[in-house]
Amino acid sequence: MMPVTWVLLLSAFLFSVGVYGVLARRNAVLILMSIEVMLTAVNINLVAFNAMLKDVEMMGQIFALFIITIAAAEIGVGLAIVILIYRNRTTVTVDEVSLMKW
Amino acid sequence: MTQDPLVIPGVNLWAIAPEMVMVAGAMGILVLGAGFKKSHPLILMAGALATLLGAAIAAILALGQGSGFAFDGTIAMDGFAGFLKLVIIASAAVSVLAGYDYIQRERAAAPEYLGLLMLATTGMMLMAAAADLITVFLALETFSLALYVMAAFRRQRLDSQEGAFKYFLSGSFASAFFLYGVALTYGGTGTTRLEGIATSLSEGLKPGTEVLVFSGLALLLVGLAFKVAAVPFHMWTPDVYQGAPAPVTGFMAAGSKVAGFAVLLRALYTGFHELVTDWQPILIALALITMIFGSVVAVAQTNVKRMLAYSSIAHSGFLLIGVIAANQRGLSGALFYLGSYSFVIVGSFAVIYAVGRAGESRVELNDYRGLWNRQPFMAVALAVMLVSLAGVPPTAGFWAKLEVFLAAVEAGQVPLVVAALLSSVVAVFFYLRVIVLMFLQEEEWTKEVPDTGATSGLAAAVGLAVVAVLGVYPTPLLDFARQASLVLFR
Amino acid sequence: MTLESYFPILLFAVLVTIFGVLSLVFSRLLGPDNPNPAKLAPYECGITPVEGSVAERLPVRFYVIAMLFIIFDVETVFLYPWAVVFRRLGIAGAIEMAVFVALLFGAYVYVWRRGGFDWEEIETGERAAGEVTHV
Repeated sequence: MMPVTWVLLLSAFLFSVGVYGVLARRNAVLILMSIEVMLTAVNINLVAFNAMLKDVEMMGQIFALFIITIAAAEIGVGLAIVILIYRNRTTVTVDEVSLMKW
Repeated sequence: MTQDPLVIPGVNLWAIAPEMVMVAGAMGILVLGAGFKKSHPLILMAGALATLLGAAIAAILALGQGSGFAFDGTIAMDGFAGFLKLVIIASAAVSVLAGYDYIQRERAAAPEYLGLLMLATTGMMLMAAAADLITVFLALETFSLALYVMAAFRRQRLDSQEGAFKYFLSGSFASAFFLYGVALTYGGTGTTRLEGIATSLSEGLKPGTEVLVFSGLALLLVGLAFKVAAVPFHMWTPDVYQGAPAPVTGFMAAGSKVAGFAVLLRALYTGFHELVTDWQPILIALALITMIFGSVVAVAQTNVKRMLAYSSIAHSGFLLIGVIAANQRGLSGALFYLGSYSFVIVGSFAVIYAVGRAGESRVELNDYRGLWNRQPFMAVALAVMLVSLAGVPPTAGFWAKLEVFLAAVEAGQVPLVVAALLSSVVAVFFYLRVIVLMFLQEEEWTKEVPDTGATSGLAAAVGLAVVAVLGVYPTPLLDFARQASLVLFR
Repeated sequence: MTLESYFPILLFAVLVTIFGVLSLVFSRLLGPDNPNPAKLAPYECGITPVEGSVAERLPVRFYVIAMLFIIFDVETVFLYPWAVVFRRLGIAGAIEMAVFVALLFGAYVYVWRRGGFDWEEIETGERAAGEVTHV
């Protein structure tokens, strides 16, 4: 069996990729995708821990299911907001969405 | 292939009775109100208020059912949850009143406004009762998603869109951190139940898993600090407060603070209580910069909504002091603080709505010049609530701060309390500035008739009444808070 | 776990393959064959194919439909674990799932009545679905 450490490393790497994407990307849709990558990393983590702990309650797997559904709902709301902004400004570049400061 | 039937564990519908009432009402308003009959907003508002009343009754009845856990330990049923649920329901009701005027003036979509508000309320109530990190996450997202949409409610306005956008991005970013924290905690302790986490921490961790639990806890704190707008996770607050409609802002300020602190208190006082010496220093640092930053930056604001946003950041810092105290007085003080603060902030934003004009204009400090001559009741109500926010006796805000600070002194955190007192003094300045503008300055522009309806006046009156009554006679709520805090100290 | 227990999967795979092949063969044999330029276009439904870059922007209403689809689609994920044990859950499990589906159905009715599924914008007062954003 594969050591769980490898899976955790993969998950940590994916999470970092997501964090980098959120911070470095300037296109709102790509930021949304980066957030999805972060959530996927969490799912991998949960499932790996579930296997490692041999959890009879399957908490990790159940939680992963919840995260998948909530992520879908979240991305729905996020895209709706992005589209709303696009209609008014014809841009989804986050740098240009800055009317308010401080 | 027949197997034994699975035992469905511990169904106790009392534990979620208020939430069930709320969901039924919200779905009813959304489906019937938006879909089949173009109902008059007044009917919808009556429906929302009736649902909130029903939920409040259910919550009170549930308080009489004793305390314990339901649904296999995922949902707690105790005084702590009951107290906070009632606070959330009350602030939602006040926000419905103020929102009715807003819907009328701006011709906003009434079913969506009320439905989303009620779904957000449901999520917040579930936060107060959540005893499992999965439940916490579900509740957190339920109310967050509803609030993201409500922040964008003035959808033709650029500032509303921008506020919602920033709120969404930073919110889901923080949620992802929270989730990673949950995953690591699960890996370290083998469970997501707060009780289970407490047990496994007190039995001692397996070597090698400490790092999972500690980094998990740190990430959990990041997610929750974001929800309660603690510095340095506060960046969304001013923009969202400015962009959202004033009644929504009031509800958001009250509800997300109550919900965030509910989980913070329950998780740190029960689940992670074993690690108190580890999380205390982190929270002390957070509280210090939150209080100081919030109070100082609020002074520089010219927009009243932004000023209250920074004031709410500062209040998060004061509330964190109650969490840091980690004793029963800190808990009951924080509960009382949340109760009084909710009424004050919802009431204040009702006044801000009533002073403003169509399109959320007139929210600058200068627009409050000579308010006493135009809208004397609103001026008095806002003045009293600002005095309460500043924590001047005898108002509700004074007792709240006193309790929290005394708890911290009991816990030996004297330097923290000194810093809190100093930033309170700074905060008095910007609250007083508004009061001076309202009462002592002449207005510079011509008089015009205010176009506000009656219900926002009612909302302001409720806030005013609660502040005044609690200021003179805080004992009943304090006793309730003390009783509610007992359950987490067994 | 023996190899035999995988037999249903093998059977399923064979059936799926046969069904796919038969559908293609019969539509080729039985369908009338008279090609014209419009029918040979990549999108038979009438959308003009994009020339040049494929990174062309699509009308916003595609996103709206896609978002609604994804949300309702993903919610069915809860049906799978439930279906695995639903006999053992008994009547209580059925009631719980009925509540869940009823809530989903409520959301569906809401979207439907608010015009979320309307391809053309029928109501003039409020733009519900979206507008073309070719730039």
